[in-house]
Order: sequence, then structure tokens, then C-alpha cells
Amino acid sequence: MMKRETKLTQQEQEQLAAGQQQSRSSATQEFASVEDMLRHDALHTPVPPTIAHRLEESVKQLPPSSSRAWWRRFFGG
Amino acid sequence: MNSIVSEPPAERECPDEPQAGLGSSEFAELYAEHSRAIFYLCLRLLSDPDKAEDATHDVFLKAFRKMNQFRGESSWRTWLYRIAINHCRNLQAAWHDRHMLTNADEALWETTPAQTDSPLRVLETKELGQRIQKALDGLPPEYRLLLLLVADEQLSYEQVGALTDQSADAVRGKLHRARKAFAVLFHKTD
Repeated sequence: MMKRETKLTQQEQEQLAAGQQQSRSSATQEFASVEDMLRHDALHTPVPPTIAHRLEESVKQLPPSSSRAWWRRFFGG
Repeated sequence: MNSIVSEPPAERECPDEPQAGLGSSEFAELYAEHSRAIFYLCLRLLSDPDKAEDATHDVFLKAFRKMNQFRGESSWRTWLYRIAINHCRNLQAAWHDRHMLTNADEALWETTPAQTDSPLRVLETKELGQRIQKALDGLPPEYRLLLLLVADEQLSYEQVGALTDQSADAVRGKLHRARKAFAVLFHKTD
């Protein structure tokens, strides 16, 4: 029975396998503890920018009160 | 210090500026410094990005309105965390959004060989958040909260204890079980 031909030479196949292995290695991340993993996850979890805009609008809607001084102080209004 | 949000802006890996729209006021600085930690806590407690966004907005609005009640007896971070924890608990109670495990589920990680000493590995970092969420969702709420708070290096065990109404020693004692439970559940998500 004839060996099935492939489009890649042996050397090319080895290079491809090595590349795939390297790719897998570089994609693997290791965390020493649960806390490390959570910190990493937190750092890569973006805060939606819409929150700040909504917050600013909400603060503007607050009725004038004794906290007005705080409003002025914190938003410079 | 390597903490959830204390890194200087230049080192942030996420492109969005959390304080966009709030100007350069002191409140904006407060928001910029703590919004990532508060949003992350809300996200992982509520398991829903939209609810977490609403909750983060509500927490900071509540903080803004009660700012004059802040006595400085705790740090801003712990003060905001307390508001966030209470807010999320109220939301979960309102939604009947229970993630409690049964005793049988707890028996699972009690009888599973401990994996806390071996590193946690992930192949696809893009799926990391989803896997973390699944594992956290399987934990009793107390363990989930403890892990999230302890992961914030700005908080001491004493502060985590104060936020969860227990002693620092009790926090340390429960952490081992929480880590083990998380590790078991995390490996099941693979």
C-alpha cells in the first residue's frame, strides 16, 4: 500500500507542529492562586464608559439641597 | 502595589477611561480610582454586565448623595465596597436570584482532591472571564464575596472581615475552603 502523499514535506510538517506547539504554549496562562486569576481578570475587564456619563447626568438631576456644597465641590458646578 | 484598580492610568490595559464625562473634579478622581473595583465586584456578584453597569451607577450615585456622611473611619474603597455589597444583595433578594448550592454540591468539593496547590491554567484567555463567572456562580455567596474582596490587594484581612461581618481570623479560615471550592469548580468549566 502506497503511503499517502501530503502537500507538506516532512520538514515543513515538523516546523508546522513546532509552531502550533509554540502557539499553544504562548496562549496558556498560569496563575499561582485564585486571587491572581481574579486580579488579572479584573484588570482586563473594562468599565463601560457609559456609566460615567449616566452618573454625571444623574447628579445633575439631583434637587438642590444641603448637599449642594458637595455638588459644587465635586463637580465644580 | 498590584491591585485591581490602583495601577496608574498609563499602565491600564483597557482603553476606556472610566471617568470620561465626569470632568476633573474630586468626585471624578474618586470614580476613576475605584470604579474598576466596584464594577468588577458588581459584575461577578450579579453575573450580568447590564445589571453590573446599572449597579455601579447606582452605587456611585448613592455614594455621591451620602458623601457628607463619610466620616473617614474607613477608606473610601471599603466605604464604596460596603455600599456595593449591600446594593447587590438587595438586588439579588429582589430578583430571587439565588446561587446557593445544596449540601450535596458542597460535598463534591469536600471529597474532590485539593487542587489549590497546583497552578490554575487557561488556554484561551478570552474565555477566562466566562469560566471565572461559572465557577463563582457555583460557589456559596459568602465564598464568592470573600474571594473577590481578598483579590483586591488594597484590602487587608481586617477590612475584608469588617465588610463581611466577621473576624480576620475567620476570613483566613474560610479562604482555604473557598479557594479549594473555586479550584474544583473552575476545573469543571474546562
